Amino acid sequence: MNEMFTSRCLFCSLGCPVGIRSRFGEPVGLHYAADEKATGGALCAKGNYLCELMTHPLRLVEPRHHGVPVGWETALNALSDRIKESGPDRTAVVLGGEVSAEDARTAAAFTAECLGGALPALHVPTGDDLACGALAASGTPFMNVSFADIAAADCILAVGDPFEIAPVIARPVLGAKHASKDTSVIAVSDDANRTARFATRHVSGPVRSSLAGIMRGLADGGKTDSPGWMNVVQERFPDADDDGKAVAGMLAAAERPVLLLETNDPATAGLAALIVQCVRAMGIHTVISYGSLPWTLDALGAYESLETLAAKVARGDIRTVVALSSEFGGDNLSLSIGRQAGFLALASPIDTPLTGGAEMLLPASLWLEQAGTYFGSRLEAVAMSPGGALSCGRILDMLADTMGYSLPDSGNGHTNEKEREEPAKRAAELAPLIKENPEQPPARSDILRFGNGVMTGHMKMATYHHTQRRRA
Amino acid sequence: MKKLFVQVDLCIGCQAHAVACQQVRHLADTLQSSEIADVGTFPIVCRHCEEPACAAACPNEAMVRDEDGVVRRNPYRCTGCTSCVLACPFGVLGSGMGLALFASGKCDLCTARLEEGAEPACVATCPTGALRYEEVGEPFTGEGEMVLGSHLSGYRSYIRRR
Repeated sequence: MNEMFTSRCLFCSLGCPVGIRSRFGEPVGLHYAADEKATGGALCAKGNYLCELMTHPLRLVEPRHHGVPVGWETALNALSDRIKESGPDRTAVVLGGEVSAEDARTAAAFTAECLGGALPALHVPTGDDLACGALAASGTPFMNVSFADIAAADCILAVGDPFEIAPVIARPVLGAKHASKDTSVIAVSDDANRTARFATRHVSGPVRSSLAGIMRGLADGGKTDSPGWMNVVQERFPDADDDGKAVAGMLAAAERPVLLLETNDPATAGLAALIVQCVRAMGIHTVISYGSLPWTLDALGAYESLETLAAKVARGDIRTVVALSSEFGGDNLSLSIGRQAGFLALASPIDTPLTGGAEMLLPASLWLEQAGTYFGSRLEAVAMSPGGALSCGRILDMLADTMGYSLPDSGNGHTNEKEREEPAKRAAELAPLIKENPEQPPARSDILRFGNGVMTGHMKMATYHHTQRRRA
Repeated sequence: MKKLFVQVDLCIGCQAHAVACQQVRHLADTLQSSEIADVGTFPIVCRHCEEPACAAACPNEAMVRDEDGVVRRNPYRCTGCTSCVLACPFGVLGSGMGLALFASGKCDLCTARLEEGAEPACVATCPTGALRYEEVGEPFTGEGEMVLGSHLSGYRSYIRRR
């Protein structure tokens, strides 16, 4: 019997509604919800892969210990023994950016209770957590405009390449552009990218400099009253260029300005946040690659950076790594962690580049296969997990139980009194970054680019292996 | 009779149509894409021509234009000779994927979806609404818009703002 369920795509911050047709609990196809007012049922290339991802032949369906299929009890007993052997203080948990708020709280509780007060590390290869941290530090909301607000905007400032990461956002942007000849779409980017091609004005060049020039233009126009941080901008960028002045004038004159922010650079995010604070009635929509990440970060509270974990692994301070991330091993940093750790337990929905090297494989569910809080609201499961796959939170719950611990209810959250590395601390490095290195933002991971054939780690492999099967 | 149109000003070249076509019909090459320097990348859609060159080229009458105006491939008659691929003046017939079961890929406007009252998958998924399924004739009478394309197929399938 065919049924249709609605969920949301997690591959970017838009969270486009997606319908999944299922038969006896197994997904059989996508449904484009044409009656959805915001998106019209549209799905980008990433969203169209959802059904294939759920049914991919490389889905992990059973735990494996040293390549041998085992049951969950055997796997968890072995993992528990390994943690006790190497020491809980020499064990780390790595969480992916796509987990639910509940799973994030469970991870925080697990590391606090079972690993001697440690913090989970966060694996977000695109660096979106840094931008989120900068926004949080500046007190700027991550998102406070709807599709309708964007479509009604009279001035849209697009930083980075929002059309690349979240193509569906082009719908309200182009709708606003074509609705009135007076609507401005200003693209701020290093070079001519997908978004810039549709802009009415393109500010080309180093993004930090461009944004600083706009802020300088706003300050010169008397539109700001925050002299503190402006001292940094004025010192480093003494002359507002013509672009900065012109864009500042457009923003100041707009009645319904909106900022679309796409960046993994905390300095850029911080500068953009300051612009939002300066411009009257300016809304903001931050485009990130992991749709529910801000809510995950909020639930997680505090976490350790992957760079910090990598240093610990390299020194031998961490000998056991439990990675619960679908893309662990898809970037150089996580790959090196996996290879250097004495024991890697990898929980993932799908085969990853580290699968062959992991001592233990644990099959994980996708967000579509488990109920949880994403985008701040509850999403129900729309399909069954294949085989014995479980959610990351459930895996940690069971592991804690195996180790003899009892975790608090993930719905209540958990706090840790130990001093920790706050995202805001990293974002507080904003001023020195502007001073010391204004022209060289960090290189963005190309994992989540698409349209040029490169997609997320798991979709890359889904595409690759699909192609291989067809060729065979 | 409805056909596919492309609003060039709205196409951002995201390739969602190709993935949707692949997911629904496993024929990613049914929708080709073309890139014009400094203009953009946009899909090249099958025109379902009134006098289809692919049908004329087919030696086995595998390509047929039905009463609804849809040019269909009969997989049981197709031998995979790719004469249709070579004959199509718009390059919409897939060749990059190779041959599957001795048959070439061919758009049929997602007949199964049409029968359910839905639009073709490429149209339904298009993030910006650039791909449209409209009545042939003068689908866009909006001020400042113009149709582009060749008369070869009997209708012009590209729209853009003046």
